[in-house]
Amino acid sequence: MTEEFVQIRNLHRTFQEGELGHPVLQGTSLTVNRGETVALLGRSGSGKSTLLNVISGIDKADAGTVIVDGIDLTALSEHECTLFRRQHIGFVYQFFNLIPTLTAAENIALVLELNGYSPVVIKEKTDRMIQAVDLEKEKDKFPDQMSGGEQQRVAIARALVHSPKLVLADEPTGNLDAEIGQQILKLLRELITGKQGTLMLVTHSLAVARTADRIITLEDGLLVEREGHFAW
Amino acid sequence: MNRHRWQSWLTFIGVMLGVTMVVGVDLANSSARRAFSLSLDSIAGSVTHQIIGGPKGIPDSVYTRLRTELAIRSSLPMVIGQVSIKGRNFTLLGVDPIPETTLGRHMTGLETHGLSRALLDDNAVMLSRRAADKLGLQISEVFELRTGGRTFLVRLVAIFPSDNPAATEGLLFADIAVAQRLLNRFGRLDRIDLILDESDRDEIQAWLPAGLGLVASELRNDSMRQMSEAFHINLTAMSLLALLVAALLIYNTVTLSVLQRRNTLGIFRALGVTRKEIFVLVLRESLLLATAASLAGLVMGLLLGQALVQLVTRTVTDLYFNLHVTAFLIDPLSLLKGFLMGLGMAFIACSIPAWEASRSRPVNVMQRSTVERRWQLRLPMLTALGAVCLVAGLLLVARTHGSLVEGFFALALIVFGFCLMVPGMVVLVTRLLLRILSPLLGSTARIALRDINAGISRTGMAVAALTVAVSVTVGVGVMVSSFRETVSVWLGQYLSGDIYVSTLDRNGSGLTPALKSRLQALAGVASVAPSRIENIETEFGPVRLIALTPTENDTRLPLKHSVEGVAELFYQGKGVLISEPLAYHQQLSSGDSITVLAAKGEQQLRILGVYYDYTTSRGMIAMHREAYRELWDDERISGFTIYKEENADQANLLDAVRKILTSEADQIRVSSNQEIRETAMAVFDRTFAITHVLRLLTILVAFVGVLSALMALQLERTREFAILRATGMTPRQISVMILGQTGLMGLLAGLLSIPLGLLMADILIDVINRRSFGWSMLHRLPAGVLAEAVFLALIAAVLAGVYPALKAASISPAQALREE
Ligand SMILES: Nc1ncnc2c1ncn2[C@@H]1O[C@H](COP(=O)(O)OP(=O)(O)OP(=O)(O)O)[C@@H](O)[C@H]1O
Ligand SMILES: [Mg+2]
Repeated sequence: MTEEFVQIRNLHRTFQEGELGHPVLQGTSLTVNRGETVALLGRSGSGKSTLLNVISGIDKADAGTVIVDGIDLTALSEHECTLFRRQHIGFVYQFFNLIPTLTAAENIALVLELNGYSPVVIKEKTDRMIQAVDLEKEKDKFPDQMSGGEQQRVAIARALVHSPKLVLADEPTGNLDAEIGQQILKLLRELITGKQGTLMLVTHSLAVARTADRIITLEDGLLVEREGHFAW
Repeated sequence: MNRHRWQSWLTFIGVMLGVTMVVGVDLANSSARRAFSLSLDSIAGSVTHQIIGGPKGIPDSVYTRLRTELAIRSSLPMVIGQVSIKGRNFTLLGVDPIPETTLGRHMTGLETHGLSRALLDDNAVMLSRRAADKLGLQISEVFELRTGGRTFLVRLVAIFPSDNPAATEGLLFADIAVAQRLLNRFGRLDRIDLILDESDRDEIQAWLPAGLGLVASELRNDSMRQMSEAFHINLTAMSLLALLVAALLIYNTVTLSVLQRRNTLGIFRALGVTRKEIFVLVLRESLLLATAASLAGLVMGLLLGQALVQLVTRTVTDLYFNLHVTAFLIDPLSLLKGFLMGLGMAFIACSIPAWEASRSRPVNVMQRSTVERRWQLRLPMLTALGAVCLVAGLLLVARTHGSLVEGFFALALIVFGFCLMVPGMVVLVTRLLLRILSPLLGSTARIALRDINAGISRTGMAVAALTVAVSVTVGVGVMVSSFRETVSVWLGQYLSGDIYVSTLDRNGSGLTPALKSRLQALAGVASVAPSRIENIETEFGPVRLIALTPTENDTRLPLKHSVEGVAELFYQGKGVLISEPLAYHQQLSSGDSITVLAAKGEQQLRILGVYYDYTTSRGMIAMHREAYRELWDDERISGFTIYKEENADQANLLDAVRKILTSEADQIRVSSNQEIRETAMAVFDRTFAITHVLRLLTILVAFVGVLSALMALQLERTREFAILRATGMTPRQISVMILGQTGLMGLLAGLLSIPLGLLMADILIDVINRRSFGWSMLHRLPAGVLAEAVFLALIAAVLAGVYPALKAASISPAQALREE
């Protein structure tokens, strides 16, 4: 079991905008250790979301490697990559991104079903997770019947219910007020550290970033490790 | 709009196909109608009245006396018959060539010098320029002409240019004497056309010898025209259906395009663009598309029309009237009508979303969810409205007598009502499935089911479109096979004889009592029954008469209903049997009477019963040949029906009969029961070939509709698919989910189309067909038709789902999630 859980090497990602290329990641490298929480900061448009997308395999890098738990994701086929994602990665988004036609409980159970757990196990794990995020009353509601904070708690439960090794959170509190944001974050960290999970967290809030083990900023397509204080 | 060019294309295709069908059918219909009235016209012209004779025609002398005794000058004697030249059919008109004739208008620019003399040659004929060109004939060329089973050599002595080529294309002119010889009608005229005023009319009426009648030509032509009209109405109704489906399509597109631009439109509103301006803006684009599609539809319609006109003409010929002018007429009115219908339909269909867009508050110009919420709210009302339409339609068809148009209106109400109820039923079924199967369903299945519900504005529409299209297949399919079965069963009863001998010659030369004796003498022959087929005049216009030889206890006709002791009365010649269409159209029944024009003048005949007849939807009268001989003084025979002895060998007997008849003139035909049956069924299948074409087109339009609705649906759910992909669903699982969903929609459409289709079949059989043709039919549910419907809907839906499924599977989740 290596300490170096996520290894990103020389990642390149360029978006085509008409005739011109728009380079976003330009040789980004990063190592995250198992059980670590890393906060990712950077200006809007600096490529934070792009980086998380590439790590989770929902976007493909043009060059470079992403190794998670010893597996080179960039070498996997689309199908293998999807299977890896469903088993080992949890994702939390700024805009919740719940399936509108599934209830809270069903949204949470979805990933377990995809992983082929038996109905009994699914029920048990889902119930436990619902309890953990304190959503017993809301579990049969549909997303449009819930508040933003409630939806984000469902999203967190969904991201964690299958005990993934790596959790990626893209501005999970960006769409919530400060107080709810704090609660959500606390919940997220509690649940992850409880399971020895690794968390990469994109945020605009320095306060949030400070709670992380490490703070890294993305500038001009490169990652810079930050110590001490800085201001935007 | 740009990003979703496919949607515009699909709509374009749908509207185009709709207009194509309307224009194609209308052109074919109007070509056939034009041909119909032209061929009436070119024979009748501006004539006000006609003197008509019975089966034997009008003696020449009547014409001479008309001119000498009554001094009627505006009269044109005519001999008319069908001939064929180089395999093409022509109507031979024998006329008096002295040009006081109404025919003059066909002969503009004709060099008349010496013509009168030339036409008096005993084999001289005359053709229009176009006909001569088509046949490749030159002036003074000698060519073969066949009529009544015989062949003559004739000479083309004149070619006349015509101001209306289509009208004269199927005509061949000759001097009356020449025509009488060719047609074997010596000393007889078929008709004398007259231009009369009131006083003349009464005078002639009084003067006319018994057995001749004077009729107003207007009325006569109208009654001819009306008969084939029903057939045209049927075709038109089918084409309108395609347009309805196209309307659903365009509504769909415009809604989608409004949704896609809701932000832009919202900003416009916020910037102070008025509601009216928004309305116009949205409408303008869609109308542009519809205009282009309608124009393309016109072009395609021209092509379709050309193909259809052959089918239509053939059917009209088979059913009603020998229609020989098949020139394809591009009626500008048909084009204009099709274009305006396409555009009008598009206008109505896109006014609704345009109006909704303009009515919304600036902040939320029609969010997708707003649309769906409105739909959910309207669903109960929509369903109730549909039920009301359905019931109204059912009540309307429950009335026994009514017009054909009323029947179609009722059918439209029923289809429309059912259509409105489909979304409600879809919601009901999916909810039920969700509830009942709940413990068994995985998330994927739940998503698929709930998405159908959540997107009911699209899914409901797609299922409705497919339901209607497939139900048309069921309805028409059941109707056609019921009809086919009916005809087949009927043929079995109607063709009571074993071998039929008939002649093409109107005078029945060759079929003599001597021949009858020879046939009778053949080993294995039980009896030989002579019969005569003629056209006679009745109070209801011209009607076909069949004079046959019944036995004391068998009328030899399949009776529907009759008076007591019908066989005996019929055998004794104490009345007639009439065909079902005649009874239906003229509201006659057993025990009533009918007035016919016989040789001795008008006769009232008792109607002993009504028999099933599917040979023509014009009326038919059957009577004993003896009674006919007495009334019309006509000894001629049109055919013999040979009944064999119980255990005689059919094939041997057929050979023997043929051997006897080879020595006879070649116009005599011998057919076995089996052969006639096969020919009849072939004619039947030919008649309904056109419905297959139209059914296919309807399904095609529906398919485009479903494809378009599904594409829209998948497009709107791109984000959802991206989340599912990000959560770990593989592209294949996404595809399977979508195909499962569309498959379920197809299955629903297939199942829903069964009750609607069966209802439609009932109405087509009992209302539309009855009111159109006067025929009653058995109800037959052909095995497999229901399974076929479900299968068809399923396949159509799944096929339509393939492209959206592949597209959804290939989305890039990162890209899709970025778009909010
Ligand atoms: N699919 C894409 N096509 C084109 N350009 C893209 C695409 N995805 C991202 N970009 C561009 O790449 C750059 C980085 O985008 P990204 O979303 O990663 O930024 P970010 O750091 O997450 O910004 P924010 O803090 O606003 O979320 C932006 O300029 C964006 O416009
Ligand atoms: Mg971002």
